Amino acid sequence: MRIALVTEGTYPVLTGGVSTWCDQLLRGLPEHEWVVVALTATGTEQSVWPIPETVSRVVMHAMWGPQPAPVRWLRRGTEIRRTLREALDLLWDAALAPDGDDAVEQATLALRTLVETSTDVRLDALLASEGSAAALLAAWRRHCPELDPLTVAEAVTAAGILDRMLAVMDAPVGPVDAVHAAGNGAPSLVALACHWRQGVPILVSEHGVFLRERYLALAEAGYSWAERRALTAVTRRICEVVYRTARFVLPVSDFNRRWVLRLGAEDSRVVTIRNGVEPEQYELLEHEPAEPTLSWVGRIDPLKDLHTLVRAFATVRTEIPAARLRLFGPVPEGNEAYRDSVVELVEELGLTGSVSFEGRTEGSRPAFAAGSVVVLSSISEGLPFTVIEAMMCGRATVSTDVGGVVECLDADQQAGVVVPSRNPEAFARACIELLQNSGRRAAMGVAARRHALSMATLSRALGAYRTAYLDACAGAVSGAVGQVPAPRVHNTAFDVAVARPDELVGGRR
Amino acid sequence: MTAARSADIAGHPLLAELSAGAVDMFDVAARLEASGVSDRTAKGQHGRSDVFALAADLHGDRPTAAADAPRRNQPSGLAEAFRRALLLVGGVLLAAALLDHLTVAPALVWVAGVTAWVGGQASAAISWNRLGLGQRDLGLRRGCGAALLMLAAAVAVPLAAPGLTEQRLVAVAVCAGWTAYACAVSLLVCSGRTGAALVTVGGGTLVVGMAEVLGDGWWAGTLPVVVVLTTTLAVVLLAVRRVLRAGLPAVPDRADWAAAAPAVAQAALLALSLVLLLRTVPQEGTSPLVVASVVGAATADPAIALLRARLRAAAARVYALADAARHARRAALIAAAGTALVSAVAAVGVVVAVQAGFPSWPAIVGPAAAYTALATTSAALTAFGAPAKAVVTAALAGGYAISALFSGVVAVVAVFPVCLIVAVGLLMHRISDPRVVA
Repeated sequence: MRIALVTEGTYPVLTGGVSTWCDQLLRGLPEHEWVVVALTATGTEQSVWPIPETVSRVVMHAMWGPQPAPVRWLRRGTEIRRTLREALDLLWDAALAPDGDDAVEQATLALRTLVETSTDVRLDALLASEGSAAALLAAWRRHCPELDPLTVAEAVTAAGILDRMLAVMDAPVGPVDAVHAAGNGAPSLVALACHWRQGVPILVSEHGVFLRERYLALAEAGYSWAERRALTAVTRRICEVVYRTARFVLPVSDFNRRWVLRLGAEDSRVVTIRNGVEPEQYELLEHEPAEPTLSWVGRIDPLKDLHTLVRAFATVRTEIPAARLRLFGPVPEGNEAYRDSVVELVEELGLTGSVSFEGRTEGSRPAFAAGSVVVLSSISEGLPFTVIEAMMCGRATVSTDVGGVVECLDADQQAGVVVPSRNPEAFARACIELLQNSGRRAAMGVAARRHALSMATLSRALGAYRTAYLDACAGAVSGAVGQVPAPRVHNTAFDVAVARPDELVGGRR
Repeated sequence: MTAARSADIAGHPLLAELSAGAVDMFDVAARLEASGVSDRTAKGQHGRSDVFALAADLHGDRPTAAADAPRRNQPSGLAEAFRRALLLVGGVLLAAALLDHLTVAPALVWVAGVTAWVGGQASAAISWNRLGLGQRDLGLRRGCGAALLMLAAAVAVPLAAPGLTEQRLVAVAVCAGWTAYACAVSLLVCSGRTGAALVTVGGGTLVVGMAEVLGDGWWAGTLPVVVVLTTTLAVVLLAVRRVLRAGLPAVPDRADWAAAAPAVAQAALLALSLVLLLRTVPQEGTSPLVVASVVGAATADPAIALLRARLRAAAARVYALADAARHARRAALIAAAGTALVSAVAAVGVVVAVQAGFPSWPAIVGPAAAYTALATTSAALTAFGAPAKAVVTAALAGGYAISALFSGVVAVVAVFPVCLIVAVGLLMHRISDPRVVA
């Protein structure tokens, strides 16, 4: 079976949890041929992972590179532009309309029409010549009369981000038997396009719940209320389309599963597959560092909330002056300002000598070995590899109670401690207690190793994915654009009447 | 939200704070979870079935915009544009002071000027292109690589040029120095580090100016030359230091040259247009035209920044694309006319200063204003992301210069309006799309 794995800003250009998961999948299921479609910022990034032989092709597709030249002259240009306008009108209408099946149907139809249009001309060039700002302004006037009108600047900002996202549907996947999106959002749009062009089944994984992280990221990014309202509305609608169209949605935790179900996925198509690690790669660590040390492993990113960790560590230092905090992990491109803010906080709190930025490591085990306790202070996680790997190594962990973190642990938290997120005091208390009590640390390490071996092995996870691929392809019914004889698209994953795109030309339903 | 439900929630300021400014129930749910509220705490502490139920109660049924929603405050870039303008003017003043103390053939001055102009633009275009791709360090390294190649060309051209036997060393020094300065300024501008260069150039200009004011003395012959060379070297070293922080200079690749091609073509066309235009004015009009062009070019940068800021402000207060486009068209006209006016005034000022006879005024001020209007429009098109249109507009400036050279005043009167209408039309078309300035 040839499977396309679609990623965004992770494998193979960055390290981190989702990248590790991708690598596991590509190496762990060698019976399949893989095509990796990586959506990156500029398309010029270098791969930081050795690509396995099972991967026949890696496609790097730019999401935020220079704007393509707009289309000027086009055969059947008037008709194509009109179809594009109507599809964009429909999409923004669906986004801002009240929730319900009708809205999701409309959004499905709009996206499908865009895919159909892209057979004649590249969508990115078409959207560069005619974006969706006008459609958003009109839809806002229709559906949000109780709100202040949207300004042109706000409409252009929101529509510009959507247009860039939609343009990824141009990504050249090539012929495949199934497409697996590493998350909702842009990778799933590529998957949808592939599904409608080739009639292949979609599988969607959810590591951190794309939509949830989108809400948080937009709130942090300083967009106006109206811009956030428009952007999250259309993103949510796209997520709903994906969940209803996918043959299987595969959250990595039951925590994520709640969001998937809430957003309209059919229960029987949602299968939780928890991350796993190879026990042989994470053998028990026998020794601890001489100094009481907290070890953190991950990419330097706002979602990891290192500010809370540093503030908590400042409290730890008041109780344990010899304590150290070692931060292992790279700074992804674009996160330099965040790294600088963490460094500033370290200096501001007078922790310069005791907090160290160690950079990228060869595997996480040496980083765990450098710490007495492994810590994770994220505000959003799926099922974090850091915690599972640390537990497999027999290290005590202190983590925030976000995402599926508690699913890594046992019910009575003998295998690890969780504390509320964004709460430096609670985090510090848990760290102090463990750092000051070697007996409890050791007991927690033993319990962690035992628990990880029972629920988080790689072979178990890979077996579940193997089954999912086989089931998806066995149950797939072709829904390819141009192959559908009637204006009713019907496959086993999606049971909604959908008009053929050419019906749009004569007027919207 | 029911009254019964709201009572217990009202007692939780943290929950109220979390839901403030949320756009919908899912937004509230995401914030709750990111703040440590789980299904367990939603049930145990707040009596709701899960986080979503708690979020729904907190948010209510209808979306309401937060009155204090934070707005992004984009910098206008005006201060940076003024710094660039001052660097340009300072550089030209220093170059004028140097040329005043050297015996250099006019042809060589133009060769040096054109080489520096093209070199600086190539270096800047490569750096800006990489900056746009999020590769600032690589951009500086490749921009520096391009600068070194341009420097080699600046050395080779006077060495190979016929008829410079006695001035060859001076020619090499002038060409290389001017090109190095232009490229260094480009790299410093791209890296956003112009402060030290501005102080250096300002200081140099001040010393040279004082030497001129003090008149003849032991310093009169050598001091300006020494100051200009020192200032140039200092600016180049500032740029080198900045580049080395990013890494060693790198050879630009094909994509870099492709990105630089429109900027190079634009610079070459505008420079050649100016050279041609200088042949159309009376002898006493050469300096006023050059000064007017420099003032126009220096005005262009802040004018573009101002135009961008105005367009952004207009887009932030209108609710229809047609209104935004109307504002843009008006602003484009004002910007082009304003820059031409400033240039014309500068030309008049210099004409008065050099005491040219009245009959030659129109022949000097007219071309200065016309050239500046076209050059500024071309620069604006580059700034608003339309490099091909910028080259077309630069070619229009060339067309105007050729018509002025060969066809006399009548043809100029006929050709210039057409060129200007086309150029400003291109700019209006470009910026009437609000995506360009958002």
